[in-house]
Amino acid sequence: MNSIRFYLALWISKLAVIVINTVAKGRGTNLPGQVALRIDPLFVKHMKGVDPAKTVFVTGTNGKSTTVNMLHHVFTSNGYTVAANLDGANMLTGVATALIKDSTLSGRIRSEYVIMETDERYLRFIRKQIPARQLIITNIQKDQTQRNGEPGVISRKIAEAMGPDLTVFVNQDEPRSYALGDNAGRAVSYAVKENSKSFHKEQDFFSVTIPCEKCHEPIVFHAHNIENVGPFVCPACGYGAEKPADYLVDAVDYEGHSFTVKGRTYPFNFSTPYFLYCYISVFAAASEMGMTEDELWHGFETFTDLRGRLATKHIAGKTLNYIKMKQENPETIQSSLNLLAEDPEDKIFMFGLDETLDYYPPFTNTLALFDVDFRPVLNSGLSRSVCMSRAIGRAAAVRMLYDGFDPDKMTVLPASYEEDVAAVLEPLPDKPVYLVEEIPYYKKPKK
Amino acid sequence: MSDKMINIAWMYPDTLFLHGERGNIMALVRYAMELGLTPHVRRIDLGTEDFDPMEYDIIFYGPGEISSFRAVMEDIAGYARPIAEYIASGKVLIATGTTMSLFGEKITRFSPDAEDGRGEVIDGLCMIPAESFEREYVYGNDLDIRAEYNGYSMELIGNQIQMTDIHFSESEGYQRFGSVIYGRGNNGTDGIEGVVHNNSLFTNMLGPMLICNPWLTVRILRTAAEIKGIEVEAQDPEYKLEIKSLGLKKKFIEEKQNNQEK
Repeated sequence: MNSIRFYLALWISKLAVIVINTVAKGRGTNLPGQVALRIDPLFVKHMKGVDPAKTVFVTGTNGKSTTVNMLHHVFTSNGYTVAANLDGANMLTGVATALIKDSTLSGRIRSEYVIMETDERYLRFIRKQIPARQLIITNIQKDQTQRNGEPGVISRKIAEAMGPDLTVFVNQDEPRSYALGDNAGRAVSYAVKENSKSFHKEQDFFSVTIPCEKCHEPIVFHAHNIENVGPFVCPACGYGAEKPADYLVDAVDYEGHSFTVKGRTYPFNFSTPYFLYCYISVFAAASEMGMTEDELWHGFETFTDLRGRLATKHIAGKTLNYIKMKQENPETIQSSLNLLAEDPEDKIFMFGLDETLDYYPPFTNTLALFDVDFRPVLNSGLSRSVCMSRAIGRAAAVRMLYDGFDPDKMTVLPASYEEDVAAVLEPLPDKPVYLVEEIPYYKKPKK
Repeated sequence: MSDKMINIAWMYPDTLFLHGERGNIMALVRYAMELGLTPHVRRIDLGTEDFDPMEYDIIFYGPGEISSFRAVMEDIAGYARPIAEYIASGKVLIATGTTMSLFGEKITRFSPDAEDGRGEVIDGLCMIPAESFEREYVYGNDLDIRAEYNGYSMELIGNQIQMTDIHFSESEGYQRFGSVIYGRGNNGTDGIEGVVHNNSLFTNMLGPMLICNPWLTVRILRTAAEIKGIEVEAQDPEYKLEIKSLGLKKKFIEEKQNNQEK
């Protein structure tokens, strides 16, 4: 009976893949999996040929998609076959869909390796069906408050999915994910050495760090390689790295596009420090699974095609440098602000927020804005700032006033419709324009 | 020392660190200055030995992670009597978000393994007659209330990220902080939001509340000044941008309610 149910689920879901590909190619990253799991709730477990020893899950707040794409590329560019959910559908249904697409009509996976992005909260359910032996944790930060409440909830959910059969790759520069190493049979650490783009936060009276996972006292970062990620210690209890990381990016040449690990230099096709953590976690996981340094070099050398968070748009005769952020995640907001603050020219800063629409009910959430510091933008040279949102643009403007923005140089737009943006930009002098905005929010013109 | 000094204690800023609640301190500082007061803020960390509540005019506790509750409780227990005397004296204590639960009688943690979902019980500080239960799932939403504070009635809008449901019955000296217009309030059933005891307030409202609703901030500062015997001559500031912001949020909430009804 079980096998009849499985085959029925498999074939119907495969049919769904064909139909979706016919009517809307590129869509349907979840639906076939939904169909299959409705018929056979243990569908993923019943798939044949999935080797847990050759399966890697990637979880965490930020960087999952980039890490999965990079790991997938490193394997496939060296001739290995991989089933992966590269489009970011990271619930059980997305994992099921990726496996359906990779399987034969008998339900056997064609690929040798399985690499899956997994939602932090659903990891335990996914791992019940595929007991992957490798787990990469990118970082654990404040995000999606309506769903997670606090970062500790995310940590607890991930911990529930871990066990002695697991090798976990933990970020030694990020206090929360590093602490999760205690929950696995084996913990392999990765880190990035302080480099030319590392920064020390200007400490002022209102600066707030994060509490220690062990004793809840303040964590001190010796440097931030990216926001709230860098070599750290808890002065109260001593929590921090006890030994050098197992895998360490120990030199970075941003201009020469290279970094060094264990004495060998590798190509680095990006210029933002954020990617270094993806590289070194991929390096660690792939090495531990037997990949050679030459294979890694080849994979990194050819890894360029990535849908990153940076893009350009042309509006009203001006070029917008578009930086996508997650507006509930202070670290990505701050990284975006820091990135545009690197430009010392007088600039136009546009900040687009959405009401929080991820979960029901939608709400007017600006909580993260008081976790970030807008002063780097102000101090880098600002000719005008524009806050865009239907319901919370004025709340964002209030936030900026607290950091010293000049109200006479601020505009509040009721939304971020392209035509409104154009109307604001058109009369402004020719200055660099930076648009920092919620990832899915850039809207088409009004109809 | 200024004779218009308002001393503010910012409790455990790196431990009670959630939801950008440091903004409340920024608002207190800004509006204190607008009222002609001289704000002086001190950060109090876990284990600060020379903390004497009575030296302060406003004490602020933001929300922290539930996992830090024990550490925070143990620290507060070290000065529980002085803090109770502080509240009894009519001085202003503010606790926002989940931290409100610490001041109640007990907090029952959620346990997925227990049939009724109830796990470990943490004793509270027993300063307000309230009992909290950790929720299985977080509740996040806007929160719109009609609040009463020190004889003034005002509308406040903020957010609510609810990790615990709180049950509180009004009794002599312990009133609701507000009545829920929209949102969950203490528990989603009785229409009560927060607790006010003397001039201390315990609320689920985030936002930060004192940034989004500066009319409350000013009222709190005037109360603290009055208790201290400071005369405030300045008029209330204008809140143009914040009033417009509140209007937009109100409209958003109304649209949301209309959509729900459909």
